[in-house]
Amino acid sequence: MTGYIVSRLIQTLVTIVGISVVVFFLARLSGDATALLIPPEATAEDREALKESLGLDDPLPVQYGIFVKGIITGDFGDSFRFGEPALDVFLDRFPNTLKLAAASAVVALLGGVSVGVLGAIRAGGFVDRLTTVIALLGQAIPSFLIGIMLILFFAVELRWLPTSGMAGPKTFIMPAIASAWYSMAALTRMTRSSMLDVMETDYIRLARLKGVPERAVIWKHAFRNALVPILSLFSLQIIFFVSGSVVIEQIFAWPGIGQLTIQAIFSRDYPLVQTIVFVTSTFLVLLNLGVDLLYAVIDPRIRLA
Amino acid sequence: MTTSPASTVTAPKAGDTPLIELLNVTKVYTVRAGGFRGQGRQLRAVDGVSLSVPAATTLGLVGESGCGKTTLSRLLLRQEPPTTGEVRYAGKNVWSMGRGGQKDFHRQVSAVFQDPYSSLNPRHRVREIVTEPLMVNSGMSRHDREEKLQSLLSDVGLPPAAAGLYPHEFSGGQRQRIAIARAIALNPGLVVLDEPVSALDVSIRAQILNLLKELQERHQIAYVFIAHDLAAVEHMSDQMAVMYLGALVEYAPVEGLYGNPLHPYTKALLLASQPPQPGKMSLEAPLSGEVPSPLNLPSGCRFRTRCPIAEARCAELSPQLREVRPGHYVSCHLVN
Amino acid sequence: MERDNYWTRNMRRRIGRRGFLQTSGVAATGLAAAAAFGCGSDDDDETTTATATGTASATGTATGSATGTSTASATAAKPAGSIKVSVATLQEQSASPFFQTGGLSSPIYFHAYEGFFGGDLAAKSTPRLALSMEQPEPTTITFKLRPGVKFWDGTDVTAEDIKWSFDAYVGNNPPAPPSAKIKNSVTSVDITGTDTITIKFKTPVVFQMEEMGVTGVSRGWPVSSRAHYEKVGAEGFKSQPMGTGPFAVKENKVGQYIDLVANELYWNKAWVPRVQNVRLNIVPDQQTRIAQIKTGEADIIEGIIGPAAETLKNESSIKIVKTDNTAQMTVRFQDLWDPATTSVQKDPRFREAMKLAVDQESIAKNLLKLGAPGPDILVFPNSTGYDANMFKPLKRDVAKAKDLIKQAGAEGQEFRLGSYSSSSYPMIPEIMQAYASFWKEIGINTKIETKESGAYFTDFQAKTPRGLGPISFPNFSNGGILLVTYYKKGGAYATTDNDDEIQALIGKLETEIDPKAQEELIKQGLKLAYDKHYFIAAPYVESQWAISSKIKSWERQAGLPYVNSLQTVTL
Ligand SMILES: Nc1ncnc2c1ncn2[C@@H]1O[C@H](COP(=O)(O)OP(=O)(O)OP(=O)(O)O)[C@@H](O)[C@H]1O
Ligand SMILES: [Mg+2]
Repeated sequence: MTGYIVSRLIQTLVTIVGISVVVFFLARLSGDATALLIPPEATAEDREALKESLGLDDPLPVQYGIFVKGIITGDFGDSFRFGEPALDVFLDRFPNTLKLAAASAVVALLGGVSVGVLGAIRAGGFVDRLTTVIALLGQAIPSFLIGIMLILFFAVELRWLPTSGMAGPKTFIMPAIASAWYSMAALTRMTRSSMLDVMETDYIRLARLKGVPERAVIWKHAFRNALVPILSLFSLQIIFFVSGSVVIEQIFAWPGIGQLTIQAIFSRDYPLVQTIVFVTSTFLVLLNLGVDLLYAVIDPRIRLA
Repeated sequence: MTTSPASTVTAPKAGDTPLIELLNVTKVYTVRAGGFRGQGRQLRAVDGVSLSVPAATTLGLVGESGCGKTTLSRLLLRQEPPTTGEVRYAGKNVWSMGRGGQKDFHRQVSAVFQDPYSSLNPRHRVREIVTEPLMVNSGMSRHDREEKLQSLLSDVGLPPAAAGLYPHEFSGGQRQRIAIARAIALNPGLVVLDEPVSALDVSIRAQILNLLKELQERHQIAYVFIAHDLAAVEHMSDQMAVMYLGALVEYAPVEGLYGNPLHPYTKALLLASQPPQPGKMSLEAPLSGEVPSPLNLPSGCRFRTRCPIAEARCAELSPQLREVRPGHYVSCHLVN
Repeated sequence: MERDNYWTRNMRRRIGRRGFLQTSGVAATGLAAAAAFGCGSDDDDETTTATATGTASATGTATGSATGTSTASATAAKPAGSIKVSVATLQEQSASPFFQTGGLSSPIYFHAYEGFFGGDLAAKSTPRLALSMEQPEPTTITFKLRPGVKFWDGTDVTAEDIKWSFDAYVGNNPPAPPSAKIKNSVTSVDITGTDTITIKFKTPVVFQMEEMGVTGVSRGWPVSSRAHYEKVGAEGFKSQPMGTGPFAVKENKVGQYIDLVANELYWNKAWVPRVQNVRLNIVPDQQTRIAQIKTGEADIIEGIIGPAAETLKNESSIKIVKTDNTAQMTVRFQDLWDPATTSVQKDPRFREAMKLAVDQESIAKNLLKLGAPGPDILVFPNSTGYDANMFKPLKRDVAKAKDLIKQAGAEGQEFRLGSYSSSSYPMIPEIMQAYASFWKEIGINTKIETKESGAYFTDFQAKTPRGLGPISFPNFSNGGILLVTYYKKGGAYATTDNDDEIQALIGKLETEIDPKAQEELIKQGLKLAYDKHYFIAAPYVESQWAISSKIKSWERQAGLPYVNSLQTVTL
């Protein structure tokens, strides 16, 4: 087990270093930052002056060195657009994304798993067919449409919920559903098929033969074993939630990092782009590490592998 | 369609009512033949089988792959309802017994399956696996369960420490021992063994078979032993049943069947299983041709399409299982 | 007609009647005031396109009088009530006066801060913190400061504050991008009297007036309080800034909203806000903004375009308010960037044909569902040098276009057609598709290549693409700067680099300091571009806002710096 953890830690570290390189150079591939920062009537000298003040006139390796040093000291530079430390700008938004991600993840997981399990234990029945239809709809209807439909119905028609923004718990409901929608459908399908697979196995048959109550058969035997593919799909979905959905944030005016990322990329706010991508990726890599270690706990087979 | 009369096979007298019996049981699956909305076709996986398992003896069940052995075992184990016919436990229809009867059934009937990997929940420790039947079906205290667990483990030849380990920490043979320990945990009257050693290394098959035999003697358990390996069946069984395409074609005490097989299919099977003997060449490939699809059974005798001695009447009349010698049943027009 | 037409009328007014700031010591106040008032009645005959679907303003007369000390006919009642405004973006994200990154439409800047002079959308600049200015020599400007101006906290604005603000602005780290330009052109800022500030420039270029906010809509540098800065510290200042504008910043939740509160001490009583509290919420999605005005979560919403506006027309309690000519788009002949090109784009007949093939009318009516056809040059009706008679939008004429294509021998040729999505001009990709089919009709094929806007601009500025490419602009009124920026050789978005005639004219313009002569030169330059068919236009578009019945009136007064200044919203 310790060997496993150590090797995973080393892998993680290597990944993070890789990310720093990719992030740095990709940000610079998007074009000249000053082209968008400066008024069009500016002269070439104005542009050079701006470049110099932003540190963009140094050779790339030097800039990269500064970036890496910044990572270590926690100084990611100032955002060109916000005039604040990029890390602050990012950290101002990231919790909002995480909160919504958590809400979405809960909705997706609870919804997907319960509907999927229901479909599996009533395989072929009405509930199952309904489940299949829901799952198909979930994957066919784009989330922005769901979002707008939710707003029109719950906010404009019924006046139950506020249209947008992030304030109380109420404001989480619609964005969480809309952003969980696709994942929920995928999880439903995965849960259903994974459960059906497991329900076919001999140990389920034997448990039933021995008179184990059906509820215990489903949750204790079947579900726990169906969980691994569900969790690995779920951890992929988490990546989407944590990266922040531009569409959902746009529709629900959610102050998360999705919009921030797009704006930063479009305006070539290198420090901000670097910070967002690096910190988010690192967060996800660490999350992934956590999930892997969790797997090892859930699935005894992985521990020794 | 062919159905054998329910009364053809009766339990060899062991005194009391057999624990489990099948009365003219047929299992038909409806399979969708490709495409969507393709109308269902009828697959007769088990066709008019009557059987009973005498107490503390072993009934061997052989037949080619796909002939319905596993389906038969599922019917026995009350995991599938028969399409027609009746499965009885202690003289009562298993599909209409009350809660008490069901509880009893869970205690008395048990199984070991072929695949030692899929038959043990990978997420449970040996302790949970083996004692789960006890938890569900007996009011044993934790302490008693632990004691029972240890005695079961030693019964099947596993060290006490095995209790705390997960299935993946064992070899195939050891896993099968765990499965056996679970199967006998409640001192059952009948254990269905569906190819219990097929998935194992040849070198350890004998150990497991001997273990099973030993346990049978010690605990007076009846077995239904399903296998491909005729030698193993011979070694294990008292009675023997040969299946072909869902139906029984021959049923006899093991010495009778091996010493004097009557059905051409049984003969062919035995011939095929014998190691080639120098100087004694068989003149024909005993089992030529494909097994017909169970979706589309031949008319008359279901074996006639591959039978070396088939005659015209075999295509018309379906042979019935009849007792040609005491305790020896066969279904063939050409045997007398 | 009266009031709400003002805006349109004003924009359509010819520059001839507008004062162009005299640089030779004329007190600007009077001039600007005259300009602002001068628009009273003489333009009424110029009919306007429907400006306001719902009348946003109530009374007529206060409009022109907004400037300075002359009159204050608007009643300065105590500000009361609060409104919520949903905007697509707040441009600049920071509330700090020294880090304003927005372009021309900068709601925070224009509501909270000001410089010496301030322009409005009609390119009239009016004195703000300055009372007047002088230009004793080409490289020097002296501002006389307006007495009695107070910061939000009631303290007086001093010449020291102004000089300190300059240093703080150009020295801000990271730099506000527009500050690079000021920093580069200014040699010194000196206090030359208790109420005078003198600025020396490196070069005697007329257009630096723009930077000082003396002309056009630029703003010089924002002025803040040194004492306050020192009290709250550099960090505190970012969230608790100080300014002189009609609204004070109460709270700025970057990326979510900014809360503004009326500044009752504002020096121009006519522009003291009527509403006490204003929250500007960032709601990027138009559909959501529309939902908000329906549910009452917003009282004013910005940026209603296309079919979405139609759905609001049925709502009796919601009105749509328009501001005309907020943006223009033109398609350029990019083969001309190569001086040695042999492309048929060099043939004026080809270029004319391409203009004639396009049906702006139908684009405005059927696709955009807003806007009006414009002339095929880059200019706005409110720009210096614009002449409605001279620069008429072309009527579509397919037969003539085909004929010209034949004469030019261009039948069947294919060009790359760039495309991108702009924040200032709606539906560019859709319009490019429509244009492609117009040109197909006259036998010219195009291959549309869509890029993300940043990459698109970079390429455009590098002048690397060939073929045809659209580019959009928000309203820009200083015709001189328009020419220098968008027509002059080497200009970032110029495609007339290789036309010697136009370049020679711009050369003259750059050294001409007489406004009358300047205007004449600008007009000539535009005429050249118009006659030589360098641009293919798309309709001028307006910006549409929706207001709820809670808003009694919303005058769009002359002189207000920002097209959607909220001072005049009345509940
Ligand atoms: N649930 C089911 N639905 C449809 N057909 C089935 C089902 N279960 C079994 N069958 C079919 O019934 C027939 C008998 O299958 P069964 O598994 O009982 O054979 P078997 O004798 O155990 O074979 P093997 O030796 O390979 O284990 C096969 O043709 C099989 O395809
Ligand atoms: Mg089988």
